[in-house]
Amino acid sequence: MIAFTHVSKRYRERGDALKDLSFSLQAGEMAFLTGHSGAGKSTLLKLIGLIERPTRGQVVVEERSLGELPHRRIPYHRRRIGMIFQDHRLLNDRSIFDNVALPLAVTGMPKREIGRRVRAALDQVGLLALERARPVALSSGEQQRVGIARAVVARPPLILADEPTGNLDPDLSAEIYNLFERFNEVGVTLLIATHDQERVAAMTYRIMRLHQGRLVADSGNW
Amino acid sequence: MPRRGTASSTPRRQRTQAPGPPRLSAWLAHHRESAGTTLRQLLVQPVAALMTVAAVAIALALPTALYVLVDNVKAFGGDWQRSAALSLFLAGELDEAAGNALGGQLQQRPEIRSVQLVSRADGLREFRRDSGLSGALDQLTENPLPVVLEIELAPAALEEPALKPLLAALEAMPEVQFVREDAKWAQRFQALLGLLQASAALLAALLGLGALLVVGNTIRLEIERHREEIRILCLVGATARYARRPFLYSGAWYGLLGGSLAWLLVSAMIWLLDGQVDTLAMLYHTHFQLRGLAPPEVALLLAASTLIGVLGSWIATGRHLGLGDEG
Repeated sequence: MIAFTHVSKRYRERGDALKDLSFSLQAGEMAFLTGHSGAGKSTLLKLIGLIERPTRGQVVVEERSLGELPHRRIPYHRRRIGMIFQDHRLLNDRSIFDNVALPLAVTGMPKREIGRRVRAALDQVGLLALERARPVALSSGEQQRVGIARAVVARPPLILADEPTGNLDPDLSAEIYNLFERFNEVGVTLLIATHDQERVAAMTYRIMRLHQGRLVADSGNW
Repeated sequence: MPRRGTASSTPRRQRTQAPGPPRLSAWLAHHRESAGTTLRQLLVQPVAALMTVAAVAIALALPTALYVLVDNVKAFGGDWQRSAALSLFLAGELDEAAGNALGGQLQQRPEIRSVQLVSRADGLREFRRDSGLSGALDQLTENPLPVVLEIELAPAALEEPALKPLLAALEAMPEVQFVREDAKWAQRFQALLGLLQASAALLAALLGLGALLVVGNTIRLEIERHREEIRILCLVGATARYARRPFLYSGAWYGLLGGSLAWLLVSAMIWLLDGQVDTLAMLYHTHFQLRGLAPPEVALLLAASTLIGVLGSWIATGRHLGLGDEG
């Protein structure tokens, strides 16, 4: 699903974020990316979503070599990836329904079909009753679930999550991880960045640890 | 009702659709939606929108007003131009019969629309009436005036390149003693009109550019306001065209509303001046009604203003949308 080969990313302002990184993630896998903040977790996810481009090396996603992907194909690449952010990234002037509908609306899907899928996604995260509310009316945990519904509504084969439980209390975090496990059970590949080492260690999934831009531990051994 | 009961009891099958290329209807729906949303946004903050619309309107009203002015002067001058003419003073020894013969001959030329002979007696009568010298004229034993041919020219012949050779040819005729060029002023009038028209075009280009920049700047601010929305749209896979579309519609509305207001301003101006102009015309014993913009001209104004809006937005979105990458 994902393959990094000798990938480096250097920012002009703060130097190397990733150094000579190589790993691969199989389709259907669920893996955690851990490390201190600034270890390069976000950068790694950004490279997969083509929010950033690597300075060196090659990133392949679903057999698409991202270095060779022309600019105008980027939107179509992103439609195959569901992205979840710590700060939710919801539009506060739109309803929950409209927020979740965004990934479908941009593909030009008919309204009826959008409605059906958005309600299915909201149902999965348990927020169907709140579809008309605005994000600000929701708690942080609820907002994060809206973000998750938005990430899965287009049924992408790959989900990237950047500190999805960063602001949540333990109970809410557990809820979110349960959701991820459910998605994984139906074949979705997930890569989740988190600094929550304890929780991750309590689960049986692959863990990749980044330190100062290098992969220092990988329980998967692929 | 039994029929309704059976119909609702059969479960309707949900059609599932693979995410393929956008369908035409969905594409049209997004256009409709963009147009509607952006118009509502304008109406929600009418003061801010009105500033931009007014700036566009004033920029467009100026050249439009100048155009209307030129158009009216043209219409007003049209009557005079028809009488724009040459007067041929024939040699003294030629009588009316000879004048008629020459007139018939000149009539054959394509540049000349009509020839009218003023007999010596008529000429004297006119002179007596207009000059106020009737007493002195009574002293004359014979009529000193020559036969005059008043020539009306075809409009094409009034232009400088056509007029010169015609004048030369007429002056070279042995029967003609003197050519008075009544057409001279008409020519100057034409040149003045040309100048005004060129100024209107130049002003339109300049102020059109101004309107374009105003719209562009407004759209730039709108982009700043929607920065987060654009970023999120791009993250969920919106194409550049999709993200750009609402802004283009926004620009189109600014242009269209600005053009409409410009039309209103010019119409109001005409309405205000019409009475004055007719009073002035009445002093000259004539009537004159100011002409406004004809429907095709209005359509052109609105189309041009809308285009200016879209273009301004196109430039602003091209520069400031920052599509594809996220910082």
